[in-house]
Amino acid sequence: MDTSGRVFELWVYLSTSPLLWLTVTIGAYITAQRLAAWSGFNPIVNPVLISVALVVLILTATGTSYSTYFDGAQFVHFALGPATVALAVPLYRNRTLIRQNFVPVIVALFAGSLTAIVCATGVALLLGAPDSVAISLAPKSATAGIAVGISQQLGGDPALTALLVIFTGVLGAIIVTPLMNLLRIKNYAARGFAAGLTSHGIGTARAFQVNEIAGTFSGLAMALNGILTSAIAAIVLGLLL
Amino acid sequence: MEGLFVILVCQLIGEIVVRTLDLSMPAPALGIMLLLAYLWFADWRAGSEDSPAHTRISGVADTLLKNLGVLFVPLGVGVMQNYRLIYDYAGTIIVVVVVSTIVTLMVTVGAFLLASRLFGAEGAGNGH
Repeated sequence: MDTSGRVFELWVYLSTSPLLWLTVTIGAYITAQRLAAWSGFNPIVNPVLISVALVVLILTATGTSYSTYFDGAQFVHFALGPATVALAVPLYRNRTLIRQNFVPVIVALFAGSLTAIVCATGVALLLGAPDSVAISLAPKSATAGIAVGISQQLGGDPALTALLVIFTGVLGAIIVTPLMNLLRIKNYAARGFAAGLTSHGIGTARAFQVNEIAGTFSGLAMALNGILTSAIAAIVLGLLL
Repeated sequence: MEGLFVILVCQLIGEIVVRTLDLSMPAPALGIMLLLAYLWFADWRAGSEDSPAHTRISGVADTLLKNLGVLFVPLGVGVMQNYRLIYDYAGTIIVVVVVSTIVTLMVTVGAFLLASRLFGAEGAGNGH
């Protein structure tokens, strides 16, 4: 067999094996992280957004279907559940910090969580979206592992919610720094808390790029908002719909 | 390995409880609370702040959380290929996400600052 025939045969084998697409996913993320560092952590250069774009580009160029891709990427995707459970660790580790800032944390948690659900659902209903779309929008500030579960249980579209969670995460991570600078807010605990509450893991990854305190409070907000959203989404939606 | 095992067990129990009792709460949310209780119990039983069980779980959790961004990539790729989902309501959805993201950021940061000013919380912003 000639060389190009062998290369083709190897490609046919590799392109359908989980190994290739798992490697591509991690490689794309490392590349995106390098780009982010190289840009001096400019908020527009968001690592999640760039790695998704890179992978989509490669899949399109090679004509690979999402289901083939997901056979490999599912190993990374699966870790979202355990990573959500793992939020208990920073929550526990920072319990003194929570106790010291107990009132601001609780007030901002309830205010932010309610605002996220009511604002998303309310604006959607005002603009004439059907109930299923409004329900899918409601939990979008919670982390993916939680938001998708809420949407499923309340009659939303889980795939649409996944899309909205990512969209909200990336958008929040990009605008949080310029917005807070514009508002002249210098309290990094408050800035981080807002980033994590609004934009979950993607916001928290951004907050850690900016400042350690911001990152810690962001992780805290993401964990607390995940729990609170899962507890109140059904009640709030019951009142709105 | 033991740290990962405990995290998975918490998620598994969460999954079993949620499905059996038909709760409107996702399993990982319950898992967070179970792991929190476990960490508390492990430290209480060892009588120290960093029991060996606690340290093992911290290692795994920190690795997972440090790389949280990459875990969203497969979902994000699926999302880009599912853009037809928002086709019918694209305008509405974009307006909703942009407005609610900005409003939520501002309300949260405002509430945090107002509450720290009113109740004179110490340590906010200068951490540890």
